[in-house]
Amino acid sequence: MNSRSTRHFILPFIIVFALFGMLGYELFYSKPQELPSTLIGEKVPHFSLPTFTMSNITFNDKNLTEHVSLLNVWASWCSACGMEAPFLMKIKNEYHIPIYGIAYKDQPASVQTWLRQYGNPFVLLGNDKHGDVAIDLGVYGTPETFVINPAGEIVYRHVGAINQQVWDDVIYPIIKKYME
Amino acid sequence: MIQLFGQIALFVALFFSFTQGVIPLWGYYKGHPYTLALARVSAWGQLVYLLCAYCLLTIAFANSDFSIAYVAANSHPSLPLMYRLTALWGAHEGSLLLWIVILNLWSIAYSFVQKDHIALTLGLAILGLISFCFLCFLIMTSNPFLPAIGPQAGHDLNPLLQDPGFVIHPPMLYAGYVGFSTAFAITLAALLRNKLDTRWASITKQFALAAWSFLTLGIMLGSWWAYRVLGWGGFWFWDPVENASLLPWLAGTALIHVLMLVEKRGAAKSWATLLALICFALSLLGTFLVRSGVLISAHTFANDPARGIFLLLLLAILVTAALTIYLFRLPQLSSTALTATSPISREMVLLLNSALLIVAMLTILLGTLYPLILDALHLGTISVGAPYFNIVMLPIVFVTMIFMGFAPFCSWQQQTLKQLWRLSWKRLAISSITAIAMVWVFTNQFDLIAIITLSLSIWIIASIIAAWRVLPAMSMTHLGFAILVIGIILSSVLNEEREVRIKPGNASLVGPYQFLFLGTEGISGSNFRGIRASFDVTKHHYHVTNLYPEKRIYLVRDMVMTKVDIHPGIFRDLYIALGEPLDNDYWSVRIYYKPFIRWIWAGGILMMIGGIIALLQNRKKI
Repeated sequence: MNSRSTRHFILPFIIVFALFGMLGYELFYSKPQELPSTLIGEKVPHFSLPTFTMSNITFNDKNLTEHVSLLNVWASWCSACGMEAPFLMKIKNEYHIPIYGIAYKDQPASVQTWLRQYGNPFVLLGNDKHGDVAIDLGVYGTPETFVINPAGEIVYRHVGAINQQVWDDVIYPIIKKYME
Repeated sequence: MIQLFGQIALFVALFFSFTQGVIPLWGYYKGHPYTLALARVSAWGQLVYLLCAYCLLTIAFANSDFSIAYVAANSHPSLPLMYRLTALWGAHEGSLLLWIVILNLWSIAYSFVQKDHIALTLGLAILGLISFCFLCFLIMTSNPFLPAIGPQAGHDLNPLLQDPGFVIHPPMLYAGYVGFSTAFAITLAALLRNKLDTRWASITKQFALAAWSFLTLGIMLGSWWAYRVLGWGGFWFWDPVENASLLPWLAGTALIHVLMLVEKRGAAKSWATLLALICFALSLLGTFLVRSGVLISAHTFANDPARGIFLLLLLAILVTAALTIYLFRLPQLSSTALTATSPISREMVLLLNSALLIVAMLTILLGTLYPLILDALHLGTISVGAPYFNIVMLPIVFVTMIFMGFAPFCSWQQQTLKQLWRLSWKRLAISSITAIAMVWVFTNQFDLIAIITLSLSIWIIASIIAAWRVLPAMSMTHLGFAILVIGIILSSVLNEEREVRIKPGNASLVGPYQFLFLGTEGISGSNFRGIRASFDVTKHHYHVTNLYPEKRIYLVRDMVMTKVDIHPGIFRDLYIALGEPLDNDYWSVRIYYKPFIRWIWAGGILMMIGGIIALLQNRKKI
């Protein structure tokens, strides 16, 4: 077989195997759960929300500067958020990282009940009644947590409830970089 | 009990698939003629035991036997009998069993059609190997007869599937999908024996036509089902799974056209062979994409990596084997060269047409896999949707339609441009004028895309009038395609839809129709509760019909479903979907006026009928 026909023989296989390699790679390594936010490295979008506790205090993006913090978007009607709550309390009590909350499309009465039931892990809790701020943040579903650096920029986004494993492996190492 | 017998039946079928696939192939190469006799007997044995397994699972569904995990996950005692008998293909395991049963039905059909003993044996052996692989896959990763853990109450069938469309769409679609396996096996067997003659072309064409007709019907039914069930009034969403069914359809259409060339002129054999292999490879690729969950789609059932790996391996082995055999035989394929034919002869039109269809297929394949390619190269996450497909398919469809119009005037071998022009210019002119007039009358404006699409469709219809007697199958399929295109363009241009806030006693005007909201009432079915709204539809004060859209809540899965009501007509559909209840008796309601939408499915049915006519004509050659 001369070199020309060898090349013709090999080429179809290269194309086909490249396709299979790609499909196999996607099968093993693609993680549909990991959704990199388009806002990573960007400042938190401007917002200003009323809080639930005192009517004269608002929660806005300026509150999220000058210290590393977590921004948790949740709702009282979301069962995964209830499962996440004890861990948020643990972050508050053991790691002393400030957590800010945004209640997504929620009723004040059910939020109060929820806070009484699980405790209040939040420094400030904004009332995003119509979900506008959540849309600006590109929220995919509740609960969702953003890590905000002292410059007020989003450095990481986690979709779903935070547990000990996610905290130890991913989120706490990121936070530690900004605490030094 | 059923569970035990089901398992046994599957294992016996696996044994028969082994004796059907491996032993005759081994005997063929070692020169043991008596092993060849095993193929046909084993094929029958395999089919009988697979049908046993299939019937056992259906009986388990009919009796709501929840000791089987698969039945418990997809049925409920309150599910109507029609859906209990068909819930078998409501999820992964059962639909894979259906896949294998249909594969074996095709094998048996092949054993009746093929008279050449050696070709039959080799073809059956290849089909047996495919069946063996899929049975291993079924038994190891997706066994439908696994016992349930603990007592089960039944999780009910997904409410989206509880529609008459579900009873017929999956079997038809699978029959089409899997049917290309026969064309694949026949071609591979012919390659192994290096006997690609006219008889091979006729038999391959027979099965390609049968599979193509089923696939056409399956896709049409799927589109009709989406229109009825999803409640947005759309008929095609460019969803990855829809694309996966369109890919083998396009490749199959190209295959049928090229096979005509092989039959008539003994030319383009290598191209026809490659297309036959590609068709089934695309069917398998579609199965992989749907079942592995690498693409996020409305049809994805479960994400189990083990299933994905198995299917990918299977796809890789089959494609590599087929490609190797093909490339080794390629230098020996003796086709008639088409040197003496004119560039505008029927040969060239058929070849060009197949090239265009393959370009269309590759375009859709690229769009479907593009998100995966980008993700694998870490270039970001995107999704490719209808805008891409609509833009890129439009020019390809236009060029294809121009050729489709010229097809009946092109004779074999010799043709001059002058002859062709003399035959066709009047029809071209008439169709353009008619199209412009129609667009002006319907919309009072000149939409260029609508004019081009309409004039090309009328051009196809005008050109087949002459060919109706001589080429009935071709005329019917092309007519069907033209009507389908007319349906698509007119329904999108003339479509009117309104989302209204309405309370009983109020009326809304959509198109020339007035929809009066009469009121709502509670309803209850065997496994759902709901609310039914009633509308009185009038046109210029004449009563047309009453429509009753519903909002249902399926109790077992706690899922809310919108059941639209449609008043169908040849020239327009009236379509109401009940939205959410608002305050003070108000409801949000979506009302659609969709002219010519039925033409889409009517065109599809005509194409299928054309396929059947071709099948009957082709039968005489075998």
